[in-house]
Order: sequence, then structure tokens, then C-alpha cells
Amino acid sequence: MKKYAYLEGIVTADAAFDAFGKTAEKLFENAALATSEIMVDFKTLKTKITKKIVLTAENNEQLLFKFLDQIVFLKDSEQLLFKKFKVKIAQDKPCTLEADCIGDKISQETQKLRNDIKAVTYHNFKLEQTKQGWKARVVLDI
Amino acid sequence: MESTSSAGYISMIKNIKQISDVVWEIPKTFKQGMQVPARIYATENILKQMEDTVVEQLTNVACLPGIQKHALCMPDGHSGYGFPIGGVAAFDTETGVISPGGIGFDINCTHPDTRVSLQYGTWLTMKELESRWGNIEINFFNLSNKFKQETKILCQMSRQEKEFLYAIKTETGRELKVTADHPLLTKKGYVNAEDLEKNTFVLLHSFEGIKYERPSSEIVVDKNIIEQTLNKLGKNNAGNSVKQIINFLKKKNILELRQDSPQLPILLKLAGFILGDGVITFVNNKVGFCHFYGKEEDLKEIKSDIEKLGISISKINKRMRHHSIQTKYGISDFKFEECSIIKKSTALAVLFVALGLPYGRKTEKSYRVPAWIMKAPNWLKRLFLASFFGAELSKPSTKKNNQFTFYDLQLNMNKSKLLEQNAFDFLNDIRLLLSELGVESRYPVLVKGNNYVGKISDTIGLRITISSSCSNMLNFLEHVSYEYNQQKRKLASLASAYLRLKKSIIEHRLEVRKKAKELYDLCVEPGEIARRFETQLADKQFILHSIYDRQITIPRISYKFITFEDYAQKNSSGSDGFFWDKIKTIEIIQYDGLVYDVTIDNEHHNFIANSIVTHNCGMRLLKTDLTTKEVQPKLKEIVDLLFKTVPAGVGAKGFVQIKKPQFQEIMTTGVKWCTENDYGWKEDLDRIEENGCINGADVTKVSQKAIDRGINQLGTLGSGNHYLEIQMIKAGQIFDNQIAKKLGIFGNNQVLIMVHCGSRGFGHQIGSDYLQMFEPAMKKYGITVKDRELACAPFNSKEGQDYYQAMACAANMAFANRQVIIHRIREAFSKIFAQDPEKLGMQIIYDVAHNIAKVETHKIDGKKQDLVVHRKGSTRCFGPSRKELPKIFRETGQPVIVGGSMETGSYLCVGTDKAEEETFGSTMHGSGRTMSRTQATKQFRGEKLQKDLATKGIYIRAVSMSGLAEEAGSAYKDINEVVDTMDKAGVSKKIVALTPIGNVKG
Repeated sequence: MKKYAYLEGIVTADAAFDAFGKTAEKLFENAALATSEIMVDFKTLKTKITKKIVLTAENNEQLLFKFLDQIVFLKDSEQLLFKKFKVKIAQDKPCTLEADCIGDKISQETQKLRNDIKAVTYHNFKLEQTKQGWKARVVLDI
Repeated sequence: MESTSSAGYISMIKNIKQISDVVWEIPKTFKQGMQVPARIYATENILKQMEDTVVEQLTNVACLPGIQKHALCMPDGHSGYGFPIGGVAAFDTETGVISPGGIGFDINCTHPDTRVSLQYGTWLTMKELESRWGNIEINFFNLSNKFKQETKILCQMSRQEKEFLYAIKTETGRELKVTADHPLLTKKGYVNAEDLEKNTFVLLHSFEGIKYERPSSEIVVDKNIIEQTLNKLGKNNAGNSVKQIINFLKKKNILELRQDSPQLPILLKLAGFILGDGVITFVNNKVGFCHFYGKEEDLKEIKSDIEKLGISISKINKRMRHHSIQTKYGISDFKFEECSIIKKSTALAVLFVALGLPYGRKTEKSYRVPAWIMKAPNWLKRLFLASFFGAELSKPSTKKNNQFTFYDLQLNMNKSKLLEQNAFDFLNDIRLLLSELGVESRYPVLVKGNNYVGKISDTIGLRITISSSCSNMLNFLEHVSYEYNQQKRKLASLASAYLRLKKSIIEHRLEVRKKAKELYDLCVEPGEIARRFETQLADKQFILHSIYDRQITIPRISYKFITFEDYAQKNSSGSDGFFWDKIKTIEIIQYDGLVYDVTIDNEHHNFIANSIVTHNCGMRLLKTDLTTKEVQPKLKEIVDLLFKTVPAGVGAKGFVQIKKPQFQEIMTTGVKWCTENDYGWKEDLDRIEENGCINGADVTKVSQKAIDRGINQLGTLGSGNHYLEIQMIKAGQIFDNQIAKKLGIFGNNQVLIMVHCGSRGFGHQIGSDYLQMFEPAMKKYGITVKDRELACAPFNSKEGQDYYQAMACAANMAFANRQVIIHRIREAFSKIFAQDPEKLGMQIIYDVAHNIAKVETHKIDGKKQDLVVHRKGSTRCFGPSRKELPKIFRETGQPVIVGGSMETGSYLCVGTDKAEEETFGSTMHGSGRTMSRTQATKQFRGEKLQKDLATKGIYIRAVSMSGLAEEAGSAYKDINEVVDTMDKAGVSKKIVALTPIGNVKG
């Protein structure tokens, strides 16, 4: 199963992707990967630092938004980028997410950096569960 | 060049009007909910290439409450979030009270099958309401006069509800499925569904009406029919009267009259009434009169409807009438005050006759229900019937000897004895219409004793009755009811509620009776049964009686039950048929699907739409006294040094290391902090929009998260389309020498530096924070928008003001960011040219913001108004007469910096006084993308681009090569065309074109 695909034709000025996953947790991981890969070439990113993210939200949709938003936030507040994620979601009310994010501090000299994400948007934001699994569509402001 | 537009889409928009060479207008009728038209500034070429989403987003913005004049789009417009990039919108700042003004079951978040009550007694389900079907208005409850009124639908939205809905059932059997936050009107005001309790009273109205269907465009009356009618009336064309009548009707847009003409529903109502209590007369075969008789309150409605046709009614007459009727009981004399409207209008009278109505004394004329009515959609049929019944059908009332049961409804008609058959035919027409609407009635009967010996002929009386059996009566009261008769309408609504209540009680009693009998058959002791099932409405005596009575009969209502009169008095609210109904059950049901929102009846508001103002991005132009002669040889050195000293790209850390208190000071003082901390010159302040500091910034409105995100970014360029560019003026690129000179441009080959960046993660975090905060705020204020990214709040609400104050913090940080960056640039040049930056003439020409909301005063229709002007990817361009500008720009107009791509170059323009009238003093900001980033990376390679540009003498350093590819020139519109557009529109004058020679990117 493909993890994610970048989309053309939705937005001109920014980036968009569809992420997939058999389970919700896998979906979240792949969406996070899709988000991160916009910013850096994974081949040039090391896995030196692990950061734990814990979030709660009212539903899975909000949870995904907050999760990706947090990844963007950490990029600026702590200069961190990640290339591996392990996500656990507890489905009781409210939904709780625990994620281990593995990556490294940003280094312009040694890493191949790409686009700077300004924000996760609600534009066409969608999270749905189908017979094949989970799917999300996210548009990012670059 | 590929683009994501569907070519020609915009020109396919029906009714797009070309206002001038470069100005196009999309009318309000394009989309349901538009408050103002939308205008696009573009050449035809640019227009054709604009994406569909630009129009979609622009017209969504036009739906926002409080928007003034037009929703505008600049020629560099392209798709954004909620608001298109290149969009401008101004909103009124005066406080407006937000009054939901909705009915008890006001529409906020409801199940798609919920029926919504609409104008002209129609309904559609929420789901059906979503698709565009015309301009029909929606009903709402006016809280002050307690009348059902109608108004436009402003906005509609649907969203996924993935969890559950509240199913609320009332005593009279009404059911609503809504989301937890959907408010219902109770005696204590609006209460959300999740907070409602059993036995709370909610406000309802019984009338449902008929499902709306689109009428056809079949002609009902045209010029020929009018002429034929006039012929039949024996009217000749003396004095051109025929032509006059036709022209009059044409002027009022009544001719040609079609089934889907907006006047038709009104004419139908009036026609029904005329057949009851009205008459059409022609005096001396020349002048036509339309008479309406009734109660003053009903005639007021008729007057208002006639005036909607464009025909004025001067007054409602009142006079005392005496009547003498011979009945079987003798001669009956009575006098009463009669109210009437008598309209002298031959055209109107002829129109009604052309529609099929009789003129003169109706009892003497043969007529049927006009054929076109018999064929019309049901809701139109209903309008005709209901007003006929308003005049002629008896009101719902309970029997004298049984106050729980209604009389049959009766319609009596008198006719000349010679026209008896016609009378039967006519009444059967009425019955046929009724049955098509689901109401059964009895065959007409002659009524003995209603004969009248008249002046002209003997008349007979006929009657039809509508049986008062429960289901038939409910069908009538809820789907047909009465028009032009307030009293009957009110009684109809209450009667329906009463009948339903009665029905549910009888059903309850039947249930108890059945169960009691079953248990008795199982040998349970009667006393025990009575104890188990006894309720207020099925008491012990009833249960025992049920057991001992050998047959299962349908129980009658208990004598303890409330009478209709008492029920009406107790629960009615106002005089239009609204009443209070108790909630019987509230259940939570699983739901996973769409729910719908509708916004109605909003008064003027003032808004900041969050997505419009998030990024606080802007441009700054720095001049030098250097020419390419001096700079070219050192270009690589300069760019490399700048690349080193001005951080850019992902994760860049600002070179200004500050702690929170200093950051907060920057948030409130902007560039002032910089000049006080040796990051600039005092005279810089005059050369920045708002003097580099927007008033009203409040650090407490900024989240810690935003601070964390932004605190390390002071002195960073960002990435994407942000850059620092060294530019030159090529020969022939100065378009106005005089103004150019005043701005500091001295001539060809002069080198300037342009900086494009904003408030970085700080501003974006503030934007995201408030976008999330505005969602509950919108529910609180009853606002819905067509796009989630247009989340907003009233400007004068706490949420709105908080956001404005936080935005000001971000804007000030952006001004400060650009300031410290040019400080670095001055330092770099100073080092390389071994001279003070002052000696190098490195003054700021100007600094403008182009993603911001500003409070400004503008004239609308000659009157000065305070507005919140949103510029998203649009630059302010004030003209010389604006007092906000520093003295030097009062001679030239405000400088406008327009950033192009690396290959096409940029522009320096100035604002004009005309800009105010056109665009609230706004113009483009850049050239706008045409190609998506992914497309661009497919087509271009960063490294190749860098090499190609180097051969052209343009030296670039970029943190991200893929990012560089995305910024390729062909991914953008032609900036010359964009700038020329606004120049042609007289909004911003082009002064100088600037060509890049060096660039630093993130």
C-alpha cells in the first residue's frame, strides 16, 4: 500500500498530499512523513534525536490536524525535523495521541532542505475511513 | 505554459459584466448569499487564465456579513485559503448586534432531511436547499413582533458530523434531529440541544406548506393575450390605451408573465382573494378598478404585496356599511365597518381578467378556476387556494357541545340560479385542487335557506365542506391553510397542534386499553393492572372501563382534557400562529453523515476574516547611490556575504538573539525597537507603512506557542517565494522621471535592493491559533461561512478584537524583521564598499505590508466610513491626498513595491487618489503563480536554473534547490501585464521597472 502521494492541481502556491494507512495510526505516521519530506530530503537527515509528542483532541480529524501542526511547530521552535514516526492512538474520549518522532536538528550545511512549511490548512482537509483503510488529504501553506 | 485554470471558465460565467477595459464584475446573483458583487481587475488574457477557485473563493468572500461595495481581486490573483491571494475586502467597523432572529427550530446544524420553511408556503429539505434554485427566501421568527417573516439566506455550509445527533420529540409529535450545539428557542431564550430537558417548552409553528418545485418558464400571459382580453372587453385603442396598458405592464416587468416570474406567486394570491372578497370592475368600459374587502390587518398584507408588483396603493379605506339580506328567517339588517382597497388601474384589472378572473358581479358571471392554475406546480396551486379560503372558508372552531372536536370547514358560495351548473363546476375545480394537495372534501350541495332575492336574479347557495376527521384536517391545516387572513392562519396553526396533541393522547389511551385487556386475559387482577398503567391521561376508571368493555373501541378524549380554546390561549405566542410545545423525549442517536448550516437574517456586521490576515508579509525597497558599474564586479561577493549573514530557509535561526521581554517589546513597538537598538536609522520610520508599528498590539493575545515558534526567527528571510534581491534599472525602464526622482531614483543602472518576507512562523502560528478559536466563536455568534478557512468573528467582539491585537503583534514583528534584515544588508554593502551605508545612499524607499487588515477611513457613496480593509496578497496604494502619508509622499503618492519573479523582474509604482474609489486604495503585490510547485519542480531543475540565470548575469544563492525550481519565472504570470492592468485602471501608476541581478533565497 502506498504511503502517500503529492497532489498536483489542487493548489498552485503550496503543497498537498493524500496519505494512506491500513490503520489510523499508520495513516498518521504516513501523513507525518509526507509533511516532513516536503521540508527535507530524508537521505540527508540522520536519526539522532527522539522527541515524544502527546496530544488530545475531540476526534481523529482534529487529532491529525494538531499532530501535523505540532510537527511544523517543532521545526521552528526547536529546529527539529523527523523522518520516522511511531504513533499510538487511544480512542476513548477525548482521543489521545502519543507519537515518537525520530530525526535530527536542522543543519543547512549537511542536509538537503526543501520547502519551509508555514502552516497546515483546513483547505480540503479530510480524514476518512474506507473499506481499504484510512485516507487523509492535507494542504500545506508553503 | 500549463496552468490549472479551465480555459475560458470565467468568460463562461453568466452575466459577467465588463465595467471597463480592465475591470470585470460578477453580479450578486452568481451565488446565493452574496452581499455585494465581486470585481476582478485583469486584462481579458489574464481573466481567461484565472483559476476557477479564484472566482469560487472571491464570491465566498462576497457572502461575508458587513462587506462593503465589492469583493475585489487584483490581476495577480490566484487560489488561496478561503480568500484568494490578491484579494481585497472592506468591512464596516461599527458594531452590529448579531441577532440570530431564527425560528424555534432555527437552522444551524441539522439533519439533511430536515424540512426548511420557505417563502410562499413552500419547503425543501436542508439537503435540497443546498443546490442553487433561485432567490426564494426563507422564513424566520421575528422575536420582536412574533410574526413569521421572510428573508434572504446568507450562507450555507455542510459538514461531516461523525458522532451523534440529538433527536428531539415534542408533545405534538414534531421531531427534530440536530447537533448538540444547535440552539432552539425556549421560553428562557435560545438553548443548545444538548442542554435541553424534557418538558422544556420550545417554539413551533405548525404550517408546513408544499414542497417547492421549480416552476416552468411557460408563458401565462403575453402581449397577445392582453390584446385579446382588451378586445373582448370591447376596449378600442382610443388614445393608444392598448399600447399604454401593455407598456405599463412591461415596465413593471410583469409582461411577459411566466410560470417562474417572481410576480406570479403574488398575482396568484391576489387572484384567489378576488374570487372571494374582491371584485374587478370597469367603469364606462374604460377605466378598470380592483376592489379588495376585508379586515384592516389583512388588507395591509394585500397592500404590501401589490406594492411588491411595483403598483402603489395610497390607502386603506374605511366606511360604515349597511346590508340587508333576505334569508329564510326574514330580512336581516346589519351594519359594520368595512375596510377596502380600491385600486384604479386598468392595466391591473385587465391583467387579472387576462389571467382568467371574471369582472363585475361574480354571482352573475360564469367562470371556472383558470386552466393555467389547474396545471401549475402544487405550491402555486396552494397559494391560490389558500387566499381564496382566507376569504371564503370558515375558520377552525370547536363545537359548542363538544369543545374538543372541530366543526367541518365550510365554504359557501352564492350564484345566480341560472348559473347553477357553473357553480358546481367551479366548486369541483376547487375540490380537485384540494385533493391534489391531499385534502378531501365533500361534493357540493345546495344549501336551502341561503337563497337571496336580488335585484338582478335569484341566487342559490352552494356549499362544500372539508371533513374534520383528524388526518384530513391536519393535511389541510398544515399544507394548505389560509392566506390574507391572520386570524384564520393563527387558528389553523393552533388547531393543528391541538389535533396532534389529541391524537397522541388518544393513541396513548388506545395503547393502554389494549395492554390492559391483554393482561386481563392473562388473568391479572384488574386492580393490579390499573395500578401499573395508570397515568394522568388514562386513569384508573378508564382502565377498568377498558377491561370490562367487551369491544376494543377507540377511546375518546378524556373530559379532563384541555379545550381547544384554552389550549390556544395558554400556548399561543403572538398572533401569527406560533406556539409553545413541550419536549417529550430527547434521545442521542448515532449519526455519521452530513449536517447542514444556514445563516439567515444577519444585520450589518464587521469582521476580520482570519485567513485573510495571517502571514503579515510585505516588501521593502532600499535604494543605493551605486550603479551596476560599481556593483557588478563585486556581485558574487555581495550575494555570498548576504547568503551567509541573512539566514534563510527551513530551520534558519535569526541573527538577532532576543528573550521574551524584548520580543514582547518588538511586538508592541515594531521598528522603533530596532532603531533604539542600533538596527536602523531614525529616518527609516517615515519610510515604512504605519511608521513600522501598528497601534493596538497586545502581547497578552499572543500564545506562548506563537512566541516559541517566532522568538528565534528575528532576522530570517524564510523560504518559498520570499527573497532578498539586488536589482538594477535598465535603460528605458523609468516611466515617470519626475516622480522617480522624488522617490530617490536618479537614473539608469542604479542599484536597489528589495526584501520580501514577513513575520515568519510567529505570524503563522497566530493565524492558526485564531483560526481554531474562531470556530466556536462563529457558532456563538451564529455565523456560518462558505469555507472553513474563512473563519471569522465580528470586529467588535472580544474574539475579533483579540485577534486584531494579536495580528498587530505579528505585523510589528514583520516590520522589525525586514528592518533588521536591511540592517544586515547595509552592513554587508558597507563592508564590501568600505564606506558608511549613509554615504552609499542606502535609504529605504518604502516598506509595505501585503497580507494584513487595516482600519482605514474610506468614502462610500460620498460618505466617510470606518472600515477594516483586508489585503491578502494586495498592497495599499494611497494617493497624494491621503493624510496618513508622510510629507514627501503627499507629492507623489504612496510608493508601491511589486515583487516579480527572478526572471521577469519587479516594479516600483505609486498610489493614486483614484485608487480609493476603485479598490479601497489597494493594488497588486506581485505577479501571482500560474503553475503549481509540483509542476514547477517537474519542469525545472534548480541547479540548471541557477546556471542559466548566471549566464544572463543574475547570480543566485538558494538554500533549497528544489525551492529554487519552484520559483522559476515561467511559473508566474507576466508581471508587466499585471502592473499595466492596474496602471490602466488608474489605481497605481508604474514608475520604474527593476531587473534582478542578484538573489538570496531560502
